[in-house]
Amino acid sequence: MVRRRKAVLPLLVLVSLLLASLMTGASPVAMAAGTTYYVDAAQGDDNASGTSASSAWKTLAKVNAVAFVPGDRILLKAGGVWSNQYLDLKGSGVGGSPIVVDRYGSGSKPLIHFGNTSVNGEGFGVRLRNVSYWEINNLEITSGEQPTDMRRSGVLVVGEGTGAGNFKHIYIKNIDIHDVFGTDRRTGGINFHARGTNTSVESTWDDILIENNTVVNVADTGIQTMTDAFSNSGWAHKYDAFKNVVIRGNYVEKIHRDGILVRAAVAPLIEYNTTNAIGNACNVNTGIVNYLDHIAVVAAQWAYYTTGAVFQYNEAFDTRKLEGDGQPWDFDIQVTGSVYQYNYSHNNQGGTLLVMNNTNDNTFRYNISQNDLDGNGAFNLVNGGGNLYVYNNVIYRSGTQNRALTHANDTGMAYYTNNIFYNGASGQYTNSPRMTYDHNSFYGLNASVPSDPNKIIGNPQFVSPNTATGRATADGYKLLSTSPLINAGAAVANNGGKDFYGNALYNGAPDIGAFEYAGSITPPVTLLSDDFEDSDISDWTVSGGSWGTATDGSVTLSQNTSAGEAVAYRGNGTWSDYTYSARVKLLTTFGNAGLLFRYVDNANYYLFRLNDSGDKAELYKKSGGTMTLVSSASCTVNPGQWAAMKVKVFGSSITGYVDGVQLVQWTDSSGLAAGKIGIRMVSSTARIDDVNVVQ
Amino acid sequence: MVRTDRKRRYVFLITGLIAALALVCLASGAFGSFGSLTASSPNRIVGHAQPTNDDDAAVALVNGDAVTLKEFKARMPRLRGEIMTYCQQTYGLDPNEPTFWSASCGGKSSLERLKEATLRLLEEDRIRERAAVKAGLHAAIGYDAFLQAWQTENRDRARRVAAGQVIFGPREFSESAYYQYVVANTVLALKQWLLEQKGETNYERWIDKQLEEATIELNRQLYEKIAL
Repeated sequence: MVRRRKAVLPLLVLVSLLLASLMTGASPVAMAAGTTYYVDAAQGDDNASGTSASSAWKTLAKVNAVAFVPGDRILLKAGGVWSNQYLDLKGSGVGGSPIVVDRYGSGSKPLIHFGNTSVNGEGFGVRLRNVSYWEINNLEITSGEQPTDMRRSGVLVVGEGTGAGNFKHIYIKNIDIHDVFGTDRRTGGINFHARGTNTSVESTWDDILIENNTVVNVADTGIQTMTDAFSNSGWAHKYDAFKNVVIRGNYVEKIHRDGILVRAAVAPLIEYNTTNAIGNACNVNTGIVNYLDHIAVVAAQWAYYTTGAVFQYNEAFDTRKLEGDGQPWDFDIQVTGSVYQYNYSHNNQGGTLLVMNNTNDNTFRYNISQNDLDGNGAFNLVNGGGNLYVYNNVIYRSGTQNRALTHANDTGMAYYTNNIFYNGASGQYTNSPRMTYDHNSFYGLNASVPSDPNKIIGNPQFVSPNTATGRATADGYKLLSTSPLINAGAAVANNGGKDFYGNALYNGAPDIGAFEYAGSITPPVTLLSDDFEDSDISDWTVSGGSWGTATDGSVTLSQNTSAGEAVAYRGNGTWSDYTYSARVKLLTTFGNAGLLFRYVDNANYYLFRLNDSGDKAELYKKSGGTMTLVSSASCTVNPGQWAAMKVKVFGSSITGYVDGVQLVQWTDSSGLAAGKIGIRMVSSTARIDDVNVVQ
Repeated sequence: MVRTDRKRRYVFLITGLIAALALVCLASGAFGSFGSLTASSPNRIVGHAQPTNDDDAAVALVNGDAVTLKEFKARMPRLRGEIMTYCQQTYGLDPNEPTFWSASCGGKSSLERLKEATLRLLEEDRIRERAAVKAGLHAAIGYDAFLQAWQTENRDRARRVAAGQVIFGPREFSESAYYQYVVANTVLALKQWLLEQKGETNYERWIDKQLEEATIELNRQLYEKIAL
């Protein structure tokens, strides 16, 4: 038997080799064979081969002693517990053939409880030191509360010392990390670190995926990338140590310092993450863990020394304002060309957005902030920053917030466009030469403050605001079909192509806010339209003056006596909220003429008029026979020329426009509720045409 | 934290369905004799129409709201690390030993401590959920309702992503992440409600008081059978 086997074996090997060579010829992609190793904490044996479930290894120390090769897989048995052990993985995969750690069997994820263990004074559940092409999946990692003061990380990916350099393809997926407490900011749940002194070899990474992990109750930072290039003048990669970074779908909660912090990255994508309770928020017995860093400032999901970051579809809540900051979102120092879009924040103590110095060309768009608190105001722009574009966001406040909603720095420009500021609480708006407002909606207190030539101050008419407790109910920030914000915004170039809800941009003219109304829009109801082309003015009631028609390009209503008060009015005394527009031509030098609205009688009405004496547009209220000038603005009045006049009266809010420019805005808390429209002049002659009243 | 000094007075229910229970016990062989119960205890065993080894059986009732066996088993593994750390640090036990969970960790087994911690967690869950409903918040009470809400949430997220719509946060929540998420949101909303309605600024103190005052009815036979 033995002799025969010896005789046959070489022949089999020869044939196999021949077949293999033929197959290799047929298949040009050479995949590394790889070996699958099994680790079973309960039934394994480190003296076994490890290559089948029935001959599994037992300890992680056994795994750590092997340099793995491309295509290898290390599978930990589900339900298994490895206490005071850690994975310190060695070897590298290659492109298309990474080395994979995963689980086998059913039950809870393999639990690595690395306790107080350490390597060179540093603790970790999994370490990938100076290696490439690894994928780590489906583990639970914890250390528990340990008395020894040292750095600890759930997963530590580090380049340092001999073997430091340029690494590729590190994927960390479906890892549950909790109760890991480290001593300083170089620690965390999932922690990438290019480490070394100025004379060390510098490390970088390309192709990082951190996906669907949970990181709960961790000190210091939840998920981060870090390089010592910030302190090493001889290192080159302050801005680009990390390329092709994707951080997606992670849930991060109860974190001592920051939630998700990307440093030194080029175009990282941070999406679909949720962070909660960020900043001095660990649930930990400080009698045992008495070495946590003092934390002064945190933010939830942010970047530092990074270009082209995209943060989208993230949720952040309960970020803590400690000695400062405490915002969910932060364009931090040396962040440029980056975007926050389609994110949702609520209950964050520091406000909504922090923009630090040495930033530029960053964009904040289509985000919803629901009752973020306002430790630093809604927007906080630190001096020394560059340009910032803020458009189509919803800032909703209905609590006790009283700090500013907007802000500017002293060096760049901040452009606020198409945003909805729903100020059901308190707080001012900033006006500064370092900012512009255009086509924003300001509703509630202090709406008259911001210098926005195209603002809308009526109720935005959300479907059901302040109900966003889960994804579905964020729909409350959609607009009702009757909203004055639909088709009322300014077009913004390179706007990302869709709104917060995924609707394509734009549907007709741009809307204001994070929601581009996609349904059919209720057409405005026209209450009155008169162009006088029928030469019939019998449905106008006149008082004073001498009235008739006159052809002036087209047929107009004309008042021809420049003595005393002349009034003509028409419509329904029950009309309350409407927009009244008409062309008006004043004919008398130093005279006046204007639009009457909510006209009750000659003793009670509003008047928006042009006054050639002093070149003013003036808003008057006449009540009980007393005429009061309530608002005025400079306006060049040219007798003998037509002017397009318009007033919008909605609730207590009155806005007046001349030739498309908003000139006056006033809120009348005890106003006239309803009334007709008309024209009035004193000691002047004038004509009116193209009268339109729409609801 | 592990509480070694808890003094909860469990009320043990015994109902008229002992006969059914006994049959199940005999049939399954899973239970010891009822003689193992403290005879002097005024407590009763919870009775159920269903067999008590069913995952839907109630391990405990918290102010009348059930903690099911299925839920207990689902929450228990997450607390292993905490108990391992405690028993290791305080009593020098080695969690790698196969006997770790049965070994004495300060007068009771590690497993017993794990179960106590799990029960404490679930008591708080039920109390918080019921309080949330009373506060007019949307809250699912009990594990089945939680699972249903979790699945609904994930279905909704998947549907929206498929439709090209925007969502925030994970496209699919794992059960453990969704649990964290729901608890955190409920606590935030309850804090707000407590502040506005009761002038209470300390949620932790408030929930501890609710726990002290809660009526916990434990099905000790079922509870004692729970293993990892």
